Amino acid sequence: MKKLFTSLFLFVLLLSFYTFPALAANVYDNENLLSASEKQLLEKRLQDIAETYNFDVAIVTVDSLNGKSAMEYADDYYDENGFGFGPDHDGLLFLLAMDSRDYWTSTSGYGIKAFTDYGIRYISDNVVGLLSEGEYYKAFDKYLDYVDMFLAEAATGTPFDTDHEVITSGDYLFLSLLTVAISAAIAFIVVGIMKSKMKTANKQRYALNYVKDGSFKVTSDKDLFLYTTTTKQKVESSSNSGGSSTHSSSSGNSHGGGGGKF
Amino acid sequence: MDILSYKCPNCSGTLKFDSQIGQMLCEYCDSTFDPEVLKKYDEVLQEEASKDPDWDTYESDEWQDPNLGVHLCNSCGAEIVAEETTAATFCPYCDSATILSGRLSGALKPDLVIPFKIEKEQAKAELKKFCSGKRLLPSLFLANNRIEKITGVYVPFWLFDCEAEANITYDAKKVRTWKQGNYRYTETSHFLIHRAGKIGFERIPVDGSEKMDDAYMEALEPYNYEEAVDFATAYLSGYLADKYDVDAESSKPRANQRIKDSTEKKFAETVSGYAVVTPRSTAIDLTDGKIRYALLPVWMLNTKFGGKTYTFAMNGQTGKFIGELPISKGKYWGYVAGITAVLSTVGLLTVFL
Repeated sequence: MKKLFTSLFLFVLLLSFYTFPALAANVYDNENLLSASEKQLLEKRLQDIAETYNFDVAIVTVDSLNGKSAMEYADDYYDENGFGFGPDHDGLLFLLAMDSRDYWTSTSGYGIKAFTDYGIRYISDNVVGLLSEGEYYKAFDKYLDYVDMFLAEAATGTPFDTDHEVITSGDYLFLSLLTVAISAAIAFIVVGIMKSKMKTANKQRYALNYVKDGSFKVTSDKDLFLYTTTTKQKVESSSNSGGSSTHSSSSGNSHGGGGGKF
Repeated sequence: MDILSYKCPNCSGTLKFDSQIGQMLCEYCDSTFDPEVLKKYDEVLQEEASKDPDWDTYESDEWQDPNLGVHLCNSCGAEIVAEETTAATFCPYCDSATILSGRLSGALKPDLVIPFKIEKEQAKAELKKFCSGKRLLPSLFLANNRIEKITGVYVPFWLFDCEAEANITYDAKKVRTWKQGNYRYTETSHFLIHRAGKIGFERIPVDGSEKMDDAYMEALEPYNYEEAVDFATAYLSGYLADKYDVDAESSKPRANQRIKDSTEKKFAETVSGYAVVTPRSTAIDLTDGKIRYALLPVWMLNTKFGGKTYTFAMNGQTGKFIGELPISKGKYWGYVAGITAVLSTVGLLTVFL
């Protein structure tokens, strides 16, 4: 009986491994920035994301990059630990290195498609403030909010990119107000035209009807060239290209990503 | 050649001759100039300035005619000349019915007149047409029968003839831009433009009636002077005439202004091919100024609505109709709100969907 229980238990455990690959708890907080309960909450969220989108997310904090760049370290960590689902290793890894104060997002497989260069920059800009303040749990929580949002958008077929930017509720409010303001302006112009038709009694500035025939004669016309001035202005070449740039990691896998200092 | 002390056309600094490049150099703004160009430049700028316009003073005969009477409005002071037999029942200027009659005295005999060509019925139809399709018109405006009160009035005008001599300089710029590497270059070439010449004007009308809004009378232009005839009292038959109460002297400034503006415009039209043209100095001399006194036909309706007088007028020769209609505040804001609401709805749907 006991044996049966044990084997049943093992079977259930295996089954759960099979269906929820994200049971491998992907918060590697080597620096102990998070309390036990915070770590648990984040892991719960990572699992939800994994189940909903079949997408692997890992959060890693380390002391030092050991002489590698943040990009190399994050890519290698991802590859060596076998993160990512499916043949293309769909997923992303968010790395913090405490002594050099680097942060980096490394994407792989479907992650490269869902998180474009624009997207990674957008998320980083919105999270870096919290990181700098040392609010690590809040920062990770917000980061995952964005991951959720970006994956949901990518699922519709068009991930957020330079030609499909994130619109926040504040933007919507602004757009609505702008729409109403423009409408009112057009209304005033239209009614203004109606109003101007009510009064047709206007002074005449010119008296060109009364010019004597053939009396207009130009007796002298000189066009004198004086001098030339030349000014030059630097043109900012804005590289506003969309999409994701990728590179190969040391193990030969393709990664996208981006980051900076906090 | 003699090198005088020239001023820099760009910044007014003093120019020095730079023997190395053989050019005049401005030490303040680094512009260089050809000395020959500067010489011409100075010649142009030293052209004469304008004088005061000289108009003849207007002299004419007293207008005495036993068949004419004057109707005096008790309310606004209008003096209306008409045949003794014409009984004015209300004042065409202020819509008041207090008219006194008297004898004509101290009026000038007009030099010429353009007779009425348009009938009263046509003037009424034009007024109706003017009111139709006006969505902002208060609904009550057309309720009372105002249109019946439309009156034919000969309005006094001063006609000004003159020759204008113009001497005008402009600053002009041509701009060229191009890109090279990471820079955008803007090259501005500066020019001094000089125009001189003559232009003549004939019979510019300025209305000589205090109570007639100048804007209205100018909006009725143009009159066709081909049909003008020497004045005879017979033309007044059935119409009213107004005695002028603004003399020729006070009407001159308006004529001068229109002549100046027109002359400037005509000469400015001869300057082309530049990106920016700004007048620098304008000298316009008026000579051979002649003034004549004329009566020109106007169909008129002055009517009160909501405590304000609204005037409609029609050129009695060409049928050109002008006027000002009252605007209903409620309808005005109603339309603004309505259009805003419709456009906002459409706009918000496109934003959110």
